[in-house]
Amino acid sequence: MKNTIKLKIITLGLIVSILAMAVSLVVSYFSYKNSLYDQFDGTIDKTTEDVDKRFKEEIWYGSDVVDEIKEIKEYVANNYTDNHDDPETFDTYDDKRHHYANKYPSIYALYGETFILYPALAEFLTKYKDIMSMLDTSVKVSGAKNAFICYYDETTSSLVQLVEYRVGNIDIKEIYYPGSHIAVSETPNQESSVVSKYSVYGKMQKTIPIYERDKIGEPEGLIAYYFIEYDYEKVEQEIQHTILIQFATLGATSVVLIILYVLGAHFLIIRNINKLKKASSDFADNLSANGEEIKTIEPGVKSNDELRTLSNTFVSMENSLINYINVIKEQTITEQKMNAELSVASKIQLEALPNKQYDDKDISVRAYIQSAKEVGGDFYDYFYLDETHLAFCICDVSGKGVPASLFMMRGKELIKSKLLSNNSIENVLYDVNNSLLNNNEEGLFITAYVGVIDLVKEELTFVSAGHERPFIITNEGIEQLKCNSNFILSGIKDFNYKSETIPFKKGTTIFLHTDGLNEAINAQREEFGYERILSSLDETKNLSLDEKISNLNNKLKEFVGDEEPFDNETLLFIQNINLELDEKYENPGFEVIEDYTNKFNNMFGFLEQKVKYEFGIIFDELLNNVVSYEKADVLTLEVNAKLEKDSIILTVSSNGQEYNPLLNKDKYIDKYSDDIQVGGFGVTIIKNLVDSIIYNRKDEKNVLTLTKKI
Amino acid sequence: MEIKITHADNLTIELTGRLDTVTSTELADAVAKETITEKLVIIDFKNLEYISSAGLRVLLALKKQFTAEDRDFEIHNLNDVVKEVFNVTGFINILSVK
Repeated sequence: MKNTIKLKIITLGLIVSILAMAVSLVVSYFSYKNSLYDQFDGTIDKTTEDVDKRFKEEIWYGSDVVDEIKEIKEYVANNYTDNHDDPETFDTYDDKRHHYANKYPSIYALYGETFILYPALAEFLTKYKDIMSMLDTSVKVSGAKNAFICYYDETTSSLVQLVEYRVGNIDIKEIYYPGSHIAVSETPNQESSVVSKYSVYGKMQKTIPIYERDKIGEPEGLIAYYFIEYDYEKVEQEIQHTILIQFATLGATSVVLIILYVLGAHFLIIRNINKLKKASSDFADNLSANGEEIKTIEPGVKSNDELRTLSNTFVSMENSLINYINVIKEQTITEQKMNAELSVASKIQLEALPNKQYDDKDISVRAYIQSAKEVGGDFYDYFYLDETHLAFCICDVSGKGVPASLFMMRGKELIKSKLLSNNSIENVLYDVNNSLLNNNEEGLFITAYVGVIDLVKEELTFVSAGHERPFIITNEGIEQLKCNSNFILSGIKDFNYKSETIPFKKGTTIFLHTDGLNEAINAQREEFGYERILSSLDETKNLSLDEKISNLNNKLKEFVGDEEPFDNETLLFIQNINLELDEKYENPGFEVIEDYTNKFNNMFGFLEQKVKYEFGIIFDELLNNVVSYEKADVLTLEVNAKLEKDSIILTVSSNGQEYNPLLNKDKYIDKYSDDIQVGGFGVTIIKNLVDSIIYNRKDEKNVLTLTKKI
Repeated sequence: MEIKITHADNLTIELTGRLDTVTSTELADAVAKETITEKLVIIDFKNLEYISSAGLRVLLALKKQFTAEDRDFEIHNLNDVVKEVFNVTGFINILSVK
């Protein structure tokens, strides 16, 4: 069972009542017991007084009783000793009792078994009816247990038993036979007295001295003592019994009180607590039930006490909760709406950026962007200013989230529009910086790297406005560009940005990134750093831009592990494509045709399908001719295709015997005949597919140079 | 190159890829192996990228063989590149092209 309040109240009530009962019992036991004893002593005093008075009349005034006592005394002194073996022997006590009951029926009828034990005495006592009658009367009057008469023998300092009268069951060991000597430490009181439990016999006794009187009634001599003995054990028992009844009464009262207490507690407190409990659990159920409107639950406590106050407080708490929940619901809806809007915003933002991959005959671009939040502050851009100038930028707005993304859009559009107005990068950034500084209370700023590639001069002009230095990848190697770092955009008004120009030959790639890459941290709080970027770029130096990006991202992922990305990460590769396919084959077989065709298609993937097919035919005709007909010790075939402006120039040179295929006449079939020869169509086809074809015999080589506009 | 030959009302030879120096012999071999009973053979160029003079050589040989056997073949679904090759060489004049 749980420790319910009811249980606690009952337990508490029990403990308190048991304690109270115990204390009252202990206190009452002692006080009540003493008062019982006092009361009892009083009764004895009263009754013994009566006996005493009667004795004074009956014993002292020369009654027969005194004579009888004297006679008994004499008789006992002469006839009785401590030796009082029964002259007759019996097998059992019953036999003995029957024997004497039959022998002395009148004695037995009057005095019970007492005297049967002393057959001689019984006979003797029949003679002293008066004294026995007196003893009988005194016992009956005083309610004593027994009465007896002794005289004090000074020579032995002991009381000598004369007669005894008892009622009730007799313990044979307690019996003092007539003539028995009972040693006493002092002479009995010669005045009438009540000896309480401290009597020589350990009993409650009344001692009355019996005097012989003279004729005028004055006491003459002390003959004997008359003892009335009360049953102390019986008194004790009575007292115990009375106390027990009191205990029981107290206990019963306690039980009734506890029941009343529990009932009271139940109706006054627990019932109301249960009401509160039920109301709160109902309310909790209400809360967890979805959809339904949450209603207040009234506990219905009517008692005018603290529980009523608690009930009222509970109701007001419910109302507060309901209000609070409604507010949270509204907030959640708003938040969901906002999140949806944010993800739309993120999509719009990403859509505002140019494609992540772009290829034309001059330029190849690969970008990667990853926002730490739904919307970010990183951006990149690239666009042609004219046919020979490609502008690009990569920027990182301070901060993240909506403010950064809005600022980013502003920055992006400013940079693009101003660059498209044919301004120098320096002027563009001067204007952009000042424009951004206007109305920028948030204090946001942008780090930017803005560049323009001149495809004709093969140069890159750029300004780094506090941005990460890019990496330049060429055939010679990879290095991080050493350049001036101008001040950030939206930093200082009227800042003059200084541009730099570096060679940017065909085949050169620039890799730009935001600090989300190099400053990405792992669990050990280490930064990814430039060394890891450099080594990743080195690993992929002969691989495509796509592979460079995926290798960087794999390395980064491996490095940061499970760490949440803190910043936006943007990667941008821009390659000034060197479209030249130069292959050299020694003692070539037909397989070189497919080899070169496939390589060409890979490099010039941007060409129209039809053009690629036409080049396929050209390679097949030309290379087939060389492989099939030209002979040399070591036949060397060199094929070079390169893009020049809007044409592809193809040079095929081989060191076989001199052969100019262009000398052959064009071959054309008008109609079918059985003798049409199969050879000679190749050159006809090629001439038709190219814009120009020239044959040269140069350095012992047949050199065919073809130009085809694309 | 992939060559797929289907016998139906007509024999259909479907070519996928390039018909050039290396692959033209594959076509010649494939046709040589085939027992052709049909009067008309259709060569489907739907999936053919381009044809070079080596391919033309095989087609001319087939033309001669079929003519001798009093059969013919038609070429279906030419792309622009193939059509151009047929035009400049005059093959358009001797082959049935649809």
